Amino acid sequence: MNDDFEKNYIDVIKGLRTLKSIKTSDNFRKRFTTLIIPNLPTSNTFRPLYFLPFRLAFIIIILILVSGTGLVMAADKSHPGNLLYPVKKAVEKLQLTITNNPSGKTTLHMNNADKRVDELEDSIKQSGNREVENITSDYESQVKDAVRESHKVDNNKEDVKSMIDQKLEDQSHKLEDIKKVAPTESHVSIEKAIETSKTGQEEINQLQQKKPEEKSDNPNTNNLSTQNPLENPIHQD
Amino acid sequence: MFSWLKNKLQNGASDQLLIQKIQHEDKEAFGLLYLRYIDSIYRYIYFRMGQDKPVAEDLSEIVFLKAWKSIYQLKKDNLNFRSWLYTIAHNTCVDHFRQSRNQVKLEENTVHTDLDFEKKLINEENISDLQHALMRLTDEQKQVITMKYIEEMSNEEISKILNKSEDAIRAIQHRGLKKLRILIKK
Repeated sequence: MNDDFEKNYIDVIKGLRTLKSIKTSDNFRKRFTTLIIPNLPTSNTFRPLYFLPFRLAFIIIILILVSGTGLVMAADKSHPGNLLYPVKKAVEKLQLTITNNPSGKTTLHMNNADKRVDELEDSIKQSGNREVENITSDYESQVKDAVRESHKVDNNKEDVKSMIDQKLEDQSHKLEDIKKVAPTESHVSIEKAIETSKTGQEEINQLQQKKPEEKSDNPNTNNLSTQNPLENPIHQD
Repeated sequence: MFSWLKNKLQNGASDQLLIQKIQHEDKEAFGLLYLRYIDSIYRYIYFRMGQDKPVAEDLSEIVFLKAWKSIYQLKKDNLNFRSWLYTIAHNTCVDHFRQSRNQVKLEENTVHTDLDFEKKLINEENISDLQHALMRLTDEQKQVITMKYIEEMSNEEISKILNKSEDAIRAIQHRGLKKLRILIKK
């Protein structure tokens, strides 16, 4: 679009158009096209991970990892009835699913039983009778599963059985203490849990009394028994 | 035969096609775009830098190196390479002015500094009265007059590059032409 004022300056404008003849020299252009262009850095050298899609994907992955880890850690401290408690249960289930060896599974079940006792204690302190039945019922199934899995554990692995025995002993005492402060209506459930614990102990004691295979025949026995299953519950038998 | 045909086709290729190739690291395509725009960018910088040839050449090279480095940022659906290149050239000149504080100032009070350039060029041949007059314009007037009447760009394009309204661009043009007329008559 021409502006009206331009009509008054046509001579100046014509003169300006002639300045288009000012150009770079051939040598200058040649130098750039033959020397500089072939040596230009390729894009990969100046935009490695900063290219937008990669950067976005990288940020999303980091967010998922960070939030996922944080979620699991937060869920581990949750109690029945909390929003994150299902996550805690799902993680426990996942750990049991990916653990193949019986001693590892036994240890995980006993750790879960420990957690239920702690949850029971907290639950009674905070809300009296609520969730007691669910927690004790879960405790019982964890103990039963631990004892059942312990039957599959190598007879030479006495430390696993000793660990169950010790844990059940501790849990019984703790449950007795909890019962003392718990409301009367939850006594039945807690007593049932204590009974399960004692039954489990008896069963484990019977297993321990069975004569283990002769250790002298197997030179590796001592090495295996020194392994602490609590430290690495996913190790192979 | 085939290379001749290839060159013929590439020379006629649109900026958009060449940019797509450059975004896939095609240096030959970048060379073609360079040859297409180097003179235009050079003239813009040359007049803005007080018609100092070595400085204009150096800065023109910098503009194209910057363009190569950031061409992947150009969006495929909004490719106006010339405007984008001029924006780089504008920013490069601003950076240069900042770096050499003692040389040229950007606003109306630059006249006396431009006179230094004029003195330097006065003895050179082939410098027209119009070129001398151009040096006496303000930096803003030089830019707009160069883009509008030498490079024949639209007011819309100039307003986008300089980030000013079209009315402001028109006013600068008017003042610039008026001043040129007076200076030439002198």
